[in-house]
Amino acid sequence: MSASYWCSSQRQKWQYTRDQLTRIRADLGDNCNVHNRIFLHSLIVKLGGKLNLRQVILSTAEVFLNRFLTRATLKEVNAYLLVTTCIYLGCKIEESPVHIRNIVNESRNAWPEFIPSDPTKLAEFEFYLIEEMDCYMVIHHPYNSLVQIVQVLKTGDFKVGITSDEQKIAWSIVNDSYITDLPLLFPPHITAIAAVYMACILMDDNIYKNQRVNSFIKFLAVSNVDLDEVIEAVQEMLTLYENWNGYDEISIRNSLNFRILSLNNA
Amino acid sequence: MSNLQQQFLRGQPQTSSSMVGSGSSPSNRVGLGLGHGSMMDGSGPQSGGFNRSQPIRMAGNDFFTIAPYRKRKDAVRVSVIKKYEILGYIAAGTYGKVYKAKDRVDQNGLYAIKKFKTDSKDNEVIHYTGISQSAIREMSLCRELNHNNITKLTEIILERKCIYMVFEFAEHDLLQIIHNHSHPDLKPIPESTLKSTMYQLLSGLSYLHQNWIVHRDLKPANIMVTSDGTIKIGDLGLARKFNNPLQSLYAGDKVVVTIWYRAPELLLGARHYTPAIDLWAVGCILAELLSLRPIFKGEESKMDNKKQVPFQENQLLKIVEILGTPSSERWSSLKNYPEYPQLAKFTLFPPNLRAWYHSAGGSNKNCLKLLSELLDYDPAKRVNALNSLSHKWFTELPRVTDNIFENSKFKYPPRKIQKDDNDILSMSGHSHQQLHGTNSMLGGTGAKRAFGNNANDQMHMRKKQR
Ligand SMILES: Nc1ncnc2c1ncn2[C@@H]1O[C@H](COP(=O)(O)OP(=O)(O)O)[C@@H](O)[C@H]1O
Ligand SMILES: [Mg+2]
Repeated sequence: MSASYWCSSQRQKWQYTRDQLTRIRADLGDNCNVHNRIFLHSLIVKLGGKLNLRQVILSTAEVFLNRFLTRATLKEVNAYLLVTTCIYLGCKIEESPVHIRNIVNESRNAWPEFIPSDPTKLAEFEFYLIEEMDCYMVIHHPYNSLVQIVQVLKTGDFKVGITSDEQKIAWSIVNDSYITDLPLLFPPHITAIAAVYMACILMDDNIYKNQRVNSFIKFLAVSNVDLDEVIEAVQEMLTLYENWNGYDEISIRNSLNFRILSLNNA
Repeated sequence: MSNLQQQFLRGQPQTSSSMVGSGSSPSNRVGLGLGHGSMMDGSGPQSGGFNRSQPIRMAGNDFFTIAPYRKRKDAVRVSVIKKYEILGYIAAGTYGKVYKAKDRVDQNGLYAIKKFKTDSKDNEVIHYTGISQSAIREMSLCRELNHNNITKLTEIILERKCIYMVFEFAEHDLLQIIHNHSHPDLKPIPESTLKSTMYQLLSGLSYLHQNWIVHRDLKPANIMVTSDGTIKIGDLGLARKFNNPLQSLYAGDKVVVTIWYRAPELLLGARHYTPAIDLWAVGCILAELLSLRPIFKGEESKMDNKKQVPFQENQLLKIVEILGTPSSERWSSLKNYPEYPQLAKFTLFPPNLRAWYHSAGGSNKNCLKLLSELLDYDPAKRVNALNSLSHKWFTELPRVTDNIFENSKFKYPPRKIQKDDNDILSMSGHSHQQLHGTNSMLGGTGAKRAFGNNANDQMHMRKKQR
């Protein structure tokens, strides 16, 4: 069923345990580390911005990217074209198709050295991307859960008011979660809860903090979510932000570009 | 982003990553459906190049894309003809052909393989073009669906720039069954078959709607029946999700549903429509199963220019002649539809469905009741799929059966196949696609498709009537 995550292909075909992911990557000889992932994320954000696309399209595109990278490596494909293809397909899946020439032009404007002008190159990649995902393309995101959780927390049972600033932060954390393995590991509502927790508890230095913590724990108990998963998701995000500290975009970009150019000359 | 990061890590601001990370705010998009907005305000480092002072080299068309990856994938791909023996072709659809096939290992497994081309040919060179929106929808939605009354997709094979969707084979469809009951002479469909067909059709539709999917192209040709008498809703090429519509459904495809089955709100130019359009089509199908001819057989006005969707005057007239002229009392939002002034020019007709029903040979009161609830003008009052399943007609005798043929003496001939064409891999014989080829770069809109389908059907029917 596409409305419900529980019967979805996302859960049944594209959800892994951490051990499985580790093994898959070892077998692939994968070398896409978190800094590469941050860089790829920035490419998606950049092209998405140029095309003026909605966030959910970019999030879908980034899940496609994550899935693809469990089955292929950056040594085999042109990363700039990969990102472009994921967005092109994401637009179609989210029912906002863009013309293939449009996206190729924008992408080529952004990265002229790496994007050929011939749109059939993108079309070809789309075909392989769909095949690699076994044609499973409907994606469930944490955004709806996020909105619901904020609503529920507001009610009389919990009385946790969440400010619009906190909501914005939670939203941003969800956006950043696509850099990590969270979309491949957990149901979307786990990511949503982790984001709300981080935005209102971890970052809160208010004197009423304890009261909020208690209410939040009560909420977790009654909503019957897997607490270990929430903790793991929070940890994953904290690790991401820690790693972001040492991120040097220029050197990551240079090494990726160098690799693509050497593949081009090979 | 650095804002967030600082809070967690109390780290130093990172100028180099200023473009990275969480650019958007929750209030203005995603899930809230409040429209478009720019993703980022500032733009970060501009070029992917090493040194901006040097002139930028532009990638040529032979620049590295996916060669090593393609090589690895092509080496292990199993051809569709390795797995399936192609028995012949069934139909030329809107976007390609449908073939009948047998599993080479499991000889009992019969399949209908729907082939989509994703390339176009110019000067004898085959190119990839983007995959049509219709193929993307059908693939992605069918992949998520699992219900006894929806055609089951068993696998999808991508090979040589074509998509092969492998469905379980269905020996019949409602168009063929209706034809068999009307040729050479009229033989009404037994009530048990009729009722079971409707029940299963509505069960499948209820499942689709519960999953927030509108079918948008229900008609006899798209409703399959297996040899053991199970209804299977097929052809999800126009279907789409409607939860959280990020834009009005109208914006995507201006024309949906083959004209004879098109709901009045669509004919009146509704910008926002609901799953109720599918129930109207089901009503038309029920009527057609009863009378063995389309109930509202209007003439389609063709699109004159590309932008303007024509008012389908004749189609609406056919409806009004039987159901009577709608009034704001019966349909409160009537006057808000863009094409209402056109309808207001029609002469007035009294409601006539009861008379139509009796002249079509109908006698059961509850069946007429369901029919009139399905053909309610007001989409807000039209019965929904889930509620229709507990309709009185379905609970009274004769009871609904899992095999629609169970209590019937009729036998239907197997689906005709053309044995002369079983070359599924061939690139030729795609006249329909060439017809729609110009649109394929855009991904093909529903408008073109709906018109194409209808033209097909009319041809189909005309041929059969001879
Ligand atoms: N599962 C199936 N079994 C047998 N025939 C089928 C099946 N699916 C489709 N067909 C035949 O192929 C025709 C076209 O298929 P359809 O999915 O409706 O494509 P289109 O989008 O071109 O209308 C149908 O009208 C039917 O005759
Ligand atoms: Mg069809």
